[in-house]
Amino acid sequence: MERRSTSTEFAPAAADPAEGDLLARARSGDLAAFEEIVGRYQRRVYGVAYRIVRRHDVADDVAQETFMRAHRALDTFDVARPFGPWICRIAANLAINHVRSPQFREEELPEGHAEMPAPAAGSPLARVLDREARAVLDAAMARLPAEQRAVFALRVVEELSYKEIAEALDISIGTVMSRLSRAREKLREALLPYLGATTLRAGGGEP
Amino acid sequence: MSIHVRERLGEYLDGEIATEERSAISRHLRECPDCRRLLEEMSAVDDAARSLPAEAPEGYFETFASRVRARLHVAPRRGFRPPVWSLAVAAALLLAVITPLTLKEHPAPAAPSVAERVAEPPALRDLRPSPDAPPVGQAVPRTRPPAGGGPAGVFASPPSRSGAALQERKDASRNAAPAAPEPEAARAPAPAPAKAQAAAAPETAKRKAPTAGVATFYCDGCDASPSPHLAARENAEELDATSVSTSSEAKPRALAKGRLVPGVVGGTAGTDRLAAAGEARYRMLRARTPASAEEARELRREWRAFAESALGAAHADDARVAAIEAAVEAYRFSASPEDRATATADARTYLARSDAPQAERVRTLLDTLSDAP
Repeated sequence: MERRSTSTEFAPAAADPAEGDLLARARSGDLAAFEEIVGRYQRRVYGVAYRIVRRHDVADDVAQETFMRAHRALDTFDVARPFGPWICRIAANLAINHVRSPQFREEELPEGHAEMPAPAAGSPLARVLDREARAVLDAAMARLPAEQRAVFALRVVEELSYKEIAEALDISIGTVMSRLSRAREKLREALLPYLGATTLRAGGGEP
Repeated sequence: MSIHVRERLGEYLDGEIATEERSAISRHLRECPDCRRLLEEMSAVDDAARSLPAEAPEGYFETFASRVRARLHVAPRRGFRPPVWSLAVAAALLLAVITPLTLKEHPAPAAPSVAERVAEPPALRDLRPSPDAPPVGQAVPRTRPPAGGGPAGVFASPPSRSGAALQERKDASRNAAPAAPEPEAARAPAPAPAKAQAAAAPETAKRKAPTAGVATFYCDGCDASPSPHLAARENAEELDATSVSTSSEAKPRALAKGRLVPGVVGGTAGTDRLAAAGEARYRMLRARTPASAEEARELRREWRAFAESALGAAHADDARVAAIEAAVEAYRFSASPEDRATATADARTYLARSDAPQAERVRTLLDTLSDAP
């Protein structure tokens, strides 16, 4: 199970000279430097992709394509800007495009996962409830329109600001806010029966 | 007041509220249990969502970066970026210079037109070694074979290469050597001068030119490629350079010193300019990111034209694959059956080629287009 990393990785590249240096080398053709960058951002990129497309095979495709594009576009990237939001932007757009393409049928998406990660602590009942709650949440995520899911994932999981999300998806901040609140409302309604349980409050029992 | 706050709770949770308003909302929350509970629920949903994993199979991330890198090798990043001005100059010079230059150097060369659909730049055809010499790797499809038994285009090898792959291609092209007749009549005289030139002392063009078609740029005054991975490739292919003889009237590599030049085998100024212009165009097309179906269709057209032109000879295979990618892109934007049919047809055509080094990649693209699960 992955815990996504937090806001430190969104600090501007200029504030992280090591990464700025890696990026500069990658821009001038150093493949090893670029590979290093891939290693640093792969989980995030995959996470964005997966949360939007919700299928591993598609997320894999999107993740790889994201880095391919980023590599090609590296010339146009200003290394003083933060790299994280930039690459998340590429990933989110590719993922949404994939979802929108007609052969990607949403009905084929597994509604829930057979194996929900179980928390370590808590009583057996709490663990069951928790597992059930996650399955319900997962199913509710699947039912969201891809655009709402994208905004939600970028804000809540990737911790992009409203402005960054608006730029990434080429929408207004107002649209970001409305999609976000709709997504949150639907998810909250789905989870309402479980929201009294303390296991959820504890942040999911992530080891 | 509480309704007003309810609406802003998302922004409050996200830290997107300005300071003064923020304290007003905090104050309200202290007094309003309903709003407080709603905020807690929203926060719980966020936490739960964060804890849902983005599932990936065991070991997926251990190999991900190297898999991406391997794909980058197939479509390599240009090693060294010359200043933009030198490419513009090279492109302009190309148009002005290549025609007269080619005609002057080789009495019976091919038609010099850059627009010709040739397997290799015209000026280079005469530089081909005789049929007896082992041909250097041929990227160009055997549908456009060299004339009169001359071996394959030295300059047309695709970017991907290991010594083994190159050897394979050499063998294959040797077998294909008895080529079909070339449409252009101008090619007919080519074998004669080619043989004569091959007979001439081969070379000092053991110029470890990093090989055919791979654009490597040299820094001022030295011959070393600045890009490490291209340098490695150079070493693998050094032997190829020796089998290429240049024209007996070998022009001095006037451009070798003091300028950024493409490291293409052969030494005529016209050749270098053609390669430089081709490189510039390749880079330009690569940098394009279509933002709509129409742009993607346009890009596809440009890649296809490039792949078939003398300018694109060095990157023909990449260009073909890039055209397919652009076609897929157009479909992703438009979701129209026409675009899908185009992309599918492009991919199938590529896969039907006898020379399709990136077949795997194209098959993957084709799969993403198909309906089958």
